Amino acid sequence: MRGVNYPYYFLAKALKGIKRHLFLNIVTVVIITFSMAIFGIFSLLFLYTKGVVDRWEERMGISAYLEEGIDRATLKALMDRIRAIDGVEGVRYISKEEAYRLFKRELSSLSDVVEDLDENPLPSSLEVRVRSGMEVEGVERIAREIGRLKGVEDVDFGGQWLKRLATILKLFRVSLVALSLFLFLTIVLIVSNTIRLTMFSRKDEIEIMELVGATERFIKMPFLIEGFLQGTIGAFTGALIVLGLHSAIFPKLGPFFMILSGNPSPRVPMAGLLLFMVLLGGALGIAGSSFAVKRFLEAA
Amino acid sequence: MIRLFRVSKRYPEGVTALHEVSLHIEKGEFAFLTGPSGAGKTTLLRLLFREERPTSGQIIIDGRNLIKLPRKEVPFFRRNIGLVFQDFKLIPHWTVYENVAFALEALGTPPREIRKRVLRVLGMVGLHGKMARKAAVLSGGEQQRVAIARALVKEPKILLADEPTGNLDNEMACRIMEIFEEINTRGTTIVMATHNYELVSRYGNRVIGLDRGRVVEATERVAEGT
Repeated sequence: MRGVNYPYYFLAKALKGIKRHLFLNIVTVVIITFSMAIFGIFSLLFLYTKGVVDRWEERMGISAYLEEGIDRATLKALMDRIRAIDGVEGVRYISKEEAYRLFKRELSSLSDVVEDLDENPLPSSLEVRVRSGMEVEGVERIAREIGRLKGVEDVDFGGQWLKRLATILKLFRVSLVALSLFLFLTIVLIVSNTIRLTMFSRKDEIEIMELVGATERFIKMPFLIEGFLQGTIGAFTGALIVLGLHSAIFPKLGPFFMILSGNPSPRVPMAGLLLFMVLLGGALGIAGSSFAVKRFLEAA
Repeated sequence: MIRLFRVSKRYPEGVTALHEVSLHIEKGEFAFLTGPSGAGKTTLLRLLFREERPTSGQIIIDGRNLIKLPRKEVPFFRRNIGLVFQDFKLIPHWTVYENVAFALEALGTPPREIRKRVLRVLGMVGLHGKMARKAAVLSGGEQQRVAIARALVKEPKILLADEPTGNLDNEMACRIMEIFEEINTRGTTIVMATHNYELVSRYGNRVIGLDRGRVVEATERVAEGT
């Protein structure tokens, strides 16, 4: 004999529970809102930093400075060997003369210094392009390999400082994960506590439900919905705060990003982040309430 | 309908609430479970609706062995059992109607069917006119009738009542007994725990006497007119 409109019935019971402990529920939702907003803001900061570092990584290349007087055959063999290295996309030879021209053009203010010299001090070199999106470690590995080849005097991949930055980014990622875990645990515990109080206030009702033959699922469902609503509403308002702050601050950061990465508006998956926050909030709410319900029913 | 084979219940603190109790209650019977406080009446009833499990022995109810009944089957087993307690166990801020209907909502009965059945049992216990009142404002006797209505609305095969008249005056106790008799004549098996010997002697039903966890007296139902 089926027929009760269960979703409606459970939702009505859940809303009744929220209404009965309205203040407590508001406090819970506010805490979830701020926790999720903090999570969202830090995730955004991380995504932007990662965007900048990725762009730098994309433009990373290797300069292999050649020994003086390298002959044509050695040079050709060297270029072929470099091309054969996994991750190398292309190699370009820059002669001493071209290096001199480039130096004068790019650093015109210093050209006088070079002109005062008797001979061209710049070495010939090979500009090595690596596969785009390769991480600093990969580029460094290729640079070391090139450095060991015959005819190569020195190698520079301009990424020592980028490596440091990547380490900082990794540290940022670890901190973000730790902070997130802390915030998520807070949310689970606060939802769990609120639901436990609601359950205590409806202790008699739950006891009677058990006595008349209600299944555990039937008893649990309104409380799970209550936790889900707390989590989702809290996360939704948290997402709105993140969106509001982003809209207010981001447009002013264009020049800053331009200097950092040559792109005034790096793209971050904003919609994805906000949707993730809301879904995560709901999931954490269910987790918190499941925890409370399980403990309560086991103790009963 | 109800069979117990050498059922014992010992609690971890070392208290033996029941000691090797064997019983057989037929379908449609109305049996009194009597004995002083602490005799084991409530424990026996709690074993019968699977609120607790015995330490040893077997309990067969309506063909189901309660010892082997998995936890998730318990709600479905209880749907065939109506329960009435001395303290009524009503939700005081709910109306009479809500308290009774709740037992069917929890089982997923369609709303139209709920309404029909709730009105019928409220008529049976004489509370038709008070269904919109909050349970808290009713007298003790009326509250117990609401509890009985809630137990009956599921149309159970067995009704277990633990001191249902314990909190009521004599007149109200008689009214409750009349309702029980009526339910019993419709085929419901009833086991009622009580220490009200006057009530027991007045109705002449089968008596199962318990003392310190053992069956000390077991009489058959006194035939009509004797």
